[in-house]
Amino acid sequence: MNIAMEKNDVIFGETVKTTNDNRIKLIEDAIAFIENRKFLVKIDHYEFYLILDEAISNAMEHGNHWNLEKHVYLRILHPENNRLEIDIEDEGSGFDPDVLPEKANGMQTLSPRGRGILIIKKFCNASWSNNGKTIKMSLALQD
Amino acid sequence: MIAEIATDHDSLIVLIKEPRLDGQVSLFEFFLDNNIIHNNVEKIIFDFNHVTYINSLGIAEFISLMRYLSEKRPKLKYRFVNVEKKISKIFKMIELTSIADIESR
Repeated sequence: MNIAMEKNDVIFGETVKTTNDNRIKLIEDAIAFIENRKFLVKIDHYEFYLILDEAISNAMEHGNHWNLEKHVYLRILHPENNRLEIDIEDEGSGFDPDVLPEKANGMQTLSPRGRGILIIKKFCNASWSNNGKTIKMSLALQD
Repeated sequence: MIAEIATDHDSLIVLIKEPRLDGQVSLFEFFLDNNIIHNNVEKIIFDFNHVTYINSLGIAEFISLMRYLSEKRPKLKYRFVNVEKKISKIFKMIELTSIADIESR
């Protein structure tokens, strides 16, 4: 848990082990919660599903390397300034987000992790903490 | 089966049967296992008519496959056809258009 995060800010939290079934469950549980609370993000459903998938897949594939004993944590924070924050954390060794690409590069050298992160950054404000093990995705809500 | 294969003159048509391409099926292995690139093939057409979802892991499968094939057959050309608009938007975003023609449904 990020020590900067106040416990009361978290309105949804779920922890799963690293499996493909749990990847999909975590995406669907988060979307169901957000829809149930009637938070309307500005991006469409496909884009929202995709960025959750990219972040969770990154955590499971590149963070936890599909180690079944490692966990992925997802937290949704209470909206502030009409933005919703979703944090996803893995139990890997982290990475340096400063080396992430700003641009795709066709068939060439873009890393597998880089392509997913590029998609995430197109649809929301993304930042990293905890040595790259936690991604924070901030999404604008509809007025 | 992940895909159905047909040929039309110099084109190999690959009809993807999986609706979700999220890294859980390996198109790369399918190609290797079936040894389906013949000498007269100059173009590979991936038909996305059944595909409703793809993420970066699925895209990575195509990149790996095209990179592998292009090393063996540098003049091969690639087309993605019948691509849902929401998917073609992602393809353009990651500049897959620089290595393949993309045609939306």
